[in-house]
Amino acid sequence: MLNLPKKENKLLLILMIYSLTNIILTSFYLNSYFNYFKIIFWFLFLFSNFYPLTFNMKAKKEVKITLIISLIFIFLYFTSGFIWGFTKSPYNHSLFSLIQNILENLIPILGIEMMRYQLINHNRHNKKTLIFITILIFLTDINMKTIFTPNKTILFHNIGSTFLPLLFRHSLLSYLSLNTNYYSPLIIRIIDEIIILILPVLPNNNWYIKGSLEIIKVMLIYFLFKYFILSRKRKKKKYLFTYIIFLGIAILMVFFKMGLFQYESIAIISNSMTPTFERGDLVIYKKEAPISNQDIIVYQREKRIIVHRVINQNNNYYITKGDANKSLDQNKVSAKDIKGVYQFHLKYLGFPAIWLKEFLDKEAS
Amino acid sequence: MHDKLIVIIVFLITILTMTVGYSTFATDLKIDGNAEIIGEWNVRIADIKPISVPTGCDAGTPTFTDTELNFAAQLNKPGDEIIYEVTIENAGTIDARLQTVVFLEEPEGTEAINYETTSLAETLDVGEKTTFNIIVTYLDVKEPPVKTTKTLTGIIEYVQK
Repeated sequence: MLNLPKKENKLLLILMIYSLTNIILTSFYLNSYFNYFKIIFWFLFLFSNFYPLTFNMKAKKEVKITLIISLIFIFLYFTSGFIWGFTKSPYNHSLFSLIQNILENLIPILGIEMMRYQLINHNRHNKKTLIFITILIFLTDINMKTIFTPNKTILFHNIGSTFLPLLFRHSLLSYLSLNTNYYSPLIIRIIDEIIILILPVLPNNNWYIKGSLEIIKVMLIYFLFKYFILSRKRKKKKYLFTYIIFLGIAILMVFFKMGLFQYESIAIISNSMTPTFERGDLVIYKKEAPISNQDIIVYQREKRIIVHRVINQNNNYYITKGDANKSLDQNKVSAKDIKGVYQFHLKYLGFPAIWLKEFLDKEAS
Repeated sequence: MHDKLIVIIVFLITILTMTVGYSTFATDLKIDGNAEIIGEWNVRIADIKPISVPTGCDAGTPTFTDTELNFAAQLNKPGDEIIYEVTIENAGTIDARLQTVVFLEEPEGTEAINYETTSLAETLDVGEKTTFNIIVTYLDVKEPPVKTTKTLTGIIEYVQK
């Protein structure tokens, strides 16, 4: 260990130690100690012999494109608040705290991205090492105690909103470091992470919206760079069409689940509406549709969503009943509790959600 | 299988799994609310106890919840002083810093009672506790007081560091 032949191997060792320190300290709520350590560490690293700060004028085009793409995504992210609402930023916006928060993030970002560039480009032909480096850098960016919790539901949320998007993002940054330079990853990270600290309000997105939008953003940037910035003009663009199709499907799926369209879906967990549809089916319903007698409606009762047929209606209240139930539903349904009207159902497509729910409920008990 | 197809497949599986998970939780959680919980904010009062009670005085039995505390001190003669120690802890997962501390004595209360509070910690990182004292003193006044009570209200606000 003491006789490492190359500077890059020393860098790798430093990175391993740093990642391990992050995991240990954040696992034991020692974030504040790690924050001070992190700033001093990367400050010294940046101005040491390892990395002179230079700017390559040939990279001007990529810098411009990355800047534009990143700003567009930040703008789209912020405007999503007009759909789902805004919430006050949890960060302190006094001048001192702002400067402190920015420095605490900016200095490590600069250091990590330069280290990534150096390590990635000296191991560019070794795929396993590239993956290893990406994972190590990813581990420097996660807060173990915040993400990993005994509560399975919250764990799932954290994995979806933070863990997976971070993993995708670091894969993209490594890809960009390998194929361009360190400016593009730097710009992406600075714009993403610093601007969030500055904004006084943030979109009030739930875990699914936050995580899936982040992952889609990563894939879009990857797609743009791969097929329109990095590829040569005459080189055949393999899989371009496949990418567009699958990216489009994913975006539509996410937008559909977010409720942006007139139609939404719900998995059926009981057989109260047999034989019309059964447990495990996926019901598609239309929001804000007119309701007549014998229509099947989707409504909320306390924490549950129920899908039953309207038997009678009177003065904004509806009497409902499951087709397989012998008696009417006990409580009247008011108009404000109605989510939509059944349109059709897809057999068995609701089972994955049901299995996941049963698995988590079983673990919780 | 080609690397590029692997990227597409991993991406689709991730989005699909998250979508299924969202369908699962969306049926149990409040639809219109934000169900996201990333960090847990939990700065709370952990304890209040009298640490100095002169003979003849009664510090009562202070009570507290996460965000409120109550005490009723009974002082006997001028010079008596009861000291309560209040403990605040950060039981969440987010570091905190003190933003506001305001203590107000009841303007119409007796001038014979004086409140003092010691300073609070400026920062309260995750897992940390801090204490401060509330000192209730019966002042030596020239004339016996007409009114014999005075309340103290306070606001302590911690925000994310």
